[in-house]
Amino acid sequence: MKPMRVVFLSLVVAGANACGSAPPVAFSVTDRRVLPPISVGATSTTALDVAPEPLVLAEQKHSSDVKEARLPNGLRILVLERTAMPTESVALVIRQGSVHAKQGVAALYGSTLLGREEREQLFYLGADREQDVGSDAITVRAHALAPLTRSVIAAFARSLKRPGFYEGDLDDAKKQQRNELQESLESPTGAAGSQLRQAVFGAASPYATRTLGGTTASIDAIREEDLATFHAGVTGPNTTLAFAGPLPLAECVRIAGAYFSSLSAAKVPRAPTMTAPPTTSQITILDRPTASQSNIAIGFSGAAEGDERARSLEVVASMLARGLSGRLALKVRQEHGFSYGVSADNANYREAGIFTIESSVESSKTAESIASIATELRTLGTSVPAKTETTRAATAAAGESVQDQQTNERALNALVYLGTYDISLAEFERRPGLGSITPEMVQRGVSQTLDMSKAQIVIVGDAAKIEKSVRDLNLGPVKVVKMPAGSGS
Amino acid sequence: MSSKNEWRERNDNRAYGNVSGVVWSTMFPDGHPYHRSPIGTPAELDRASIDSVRKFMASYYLPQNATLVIVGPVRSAEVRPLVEKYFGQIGNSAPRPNAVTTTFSPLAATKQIKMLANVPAPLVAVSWKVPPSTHPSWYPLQFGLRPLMWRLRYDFVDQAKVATDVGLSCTDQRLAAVCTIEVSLRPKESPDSVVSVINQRIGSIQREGKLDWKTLSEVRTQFLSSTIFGVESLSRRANAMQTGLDRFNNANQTEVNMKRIDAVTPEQAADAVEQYLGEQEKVVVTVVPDKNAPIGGKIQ
Repeated sequence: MKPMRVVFLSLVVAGANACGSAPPVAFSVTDRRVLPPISVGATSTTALDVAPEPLVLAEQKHSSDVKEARLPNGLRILVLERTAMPTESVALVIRQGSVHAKQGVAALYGSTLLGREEREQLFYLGADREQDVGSDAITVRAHALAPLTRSVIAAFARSLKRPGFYEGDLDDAKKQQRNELQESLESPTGAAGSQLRQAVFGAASPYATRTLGGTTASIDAIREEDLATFHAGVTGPNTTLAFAGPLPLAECVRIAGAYFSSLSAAKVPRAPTMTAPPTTSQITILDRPTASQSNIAIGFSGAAEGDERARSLEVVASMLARGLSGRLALKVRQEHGFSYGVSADNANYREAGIFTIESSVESSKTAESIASIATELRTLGTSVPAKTETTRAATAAAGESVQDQQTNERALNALVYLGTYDISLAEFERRPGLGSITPEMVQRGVSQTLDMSKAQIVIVGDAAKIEKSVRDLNLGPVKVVKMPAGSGS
Repeated sequence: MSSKNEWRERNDNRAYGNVSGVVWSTMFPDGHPYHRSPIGTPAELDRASIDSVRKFMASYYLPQNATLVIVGPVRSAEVRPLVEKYFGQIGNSAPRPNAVTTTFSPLAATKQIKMLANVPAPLVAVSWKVPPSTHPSWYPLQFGLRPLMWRLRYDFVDQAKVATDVGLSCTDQRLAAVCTIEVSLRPKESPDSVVSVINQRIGSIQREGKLDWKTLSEVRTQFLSSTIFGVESLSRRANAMQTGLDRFNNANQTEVNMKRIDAVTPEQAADAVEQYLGEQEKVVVTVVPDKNAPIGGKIQ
């Protein structure tokens, strides 16, 4: 392919020397450079051959190209040097999430960490920014043109030195969080997902109660001291700075040292108390009388990060619901036309996991859709799938997993993952890639984890239309509750 | 059935899901190809027969009406025989369908529509019909819209604190594009003053007659960044090439677009705002919470 010529002219960057005494950086980019074709590693060159075997990266192991360093205060630096594109993806991973704090605090901390000036700076830099408050960690990412990396890091560092919640807009941020919570709970998928986590993890589990933004009451109860306490846990050993792009390790260490060396070196203990997941199935109907569809969410207690089932379940999720060719899509959509699609997700946290299957279906076909899904899970749990199907599923899953390195942005996922769970490079290297998952492992993963006798099922829909047929399924006790306050009931 | 479920999922069963369809059907008169959404309505889907679907496929899914883009570490000499093997057998006996053409014409007057939806908060969507990306004014207008959106976000979210977000989206089609500014109000806030504030901000850009250079540089950085991000992955690069071929007959249109971005002047941006974001030429949809309406919304 002919290389694409890209011309950068006079990129003016706001807030160039923005981080206290940090060294000044020249941001004026007047440059002509050539974008080489993108490298995607060992992709087969027979990509158009409609052969039965899939063609992409299923056998690829986790990358051994990641390099690592630490600042004296313990901050971890992970670098994947890639020169194919003139962009750099960076992430700040704080290994402290919603399970480590009072309800709603982590979400509020995450949303107010970047001050207004920092948000604007990243915006004007043309950076794609993303903040994720997870159960186990908070991650702030940015994807920007490589010459602007130092400015991005400066914005991150300045936020850690003086988080945005000190700007005096805490009440406003709480109001915003209450609104987001309400919006989420009022949407059928949001309400189903929230209810499902409580059902699968157990109502008292930190993975159930401390997700989302909390509750209206818990948000009201948050004080600035709570955020300050959470902020005190952001220390060097608790933080990772990850880079994917053309910057070499030495340069990344230099930038990190310039901006993050003042971070405390104290270690902060964190160990959420877990509760046992439910051992019997339960069906909850969230009644929404005007619903034109039923939103079905089926959940199972899954594999924690590091559990050997975790990788198998990634392949299972792909086998069940990837695009239009997953087993459940073929059954529920193609064969019956009950739904536009079915999704499956395998989420692995530090201390627990959840496997979910979701679909929006025609109200009158709610029970039949659940029955179809249950039948398919039983089939996959009792009979080993074909090698070809397993390899295809693994290949598709690799494209969505930490194995995918097609762009710097995606390559960063692996580094964020290593930072979130504090996994060493050696351990990461030892872990099998998705290509090593066998059909037997898939079948075992399903039989051990996706057991319908322990399934938690949440349906958001019109109870008057669906309750009887759902009860007739005899999949477990059924309870009907109203949608959360202010909802579509 | 699955198409009707798709329609429900995207429209009736999604918060504010019906707004976009109302905007487009209002913006384009009955008979215009953009008056209806591509998926149709549940009633139209019910009327579709297998014969009508076959006829549509035979008319439009033709080799002479299709483009295949392959991006990746492949050699043309290796790929071409495979393309011929798998795509060469498709018949091309039917004539190539004529392209649909219309002359771009702005809306004659503002149209106000009120919708009710079972949602927690009101929303105001202000939309303009603008020329498509093939038109020389595309980037100047984008350069004008971006700072307008920043300013409105500051007005509504940061200053007045009556909104949770202000968004800007432009949907670019071959014959025309629709640009929409959406103001997501906080629950119980009144949508009444939203349009007049937007009009004031547009008016001030028009009075200034040009953007300041700092703003222009910031917008330029954003567009250059997003254009490069847009060709990073294989799938995005393939999409960019496909769009370039479809709209400009140029697979390397990305390169041309970067030059177009570079060439926008402050005066051009203000001129485009004046020309296409006129006070009387928009569709204003106001969505008000109502527990008896569908989540997606219905016209009052």
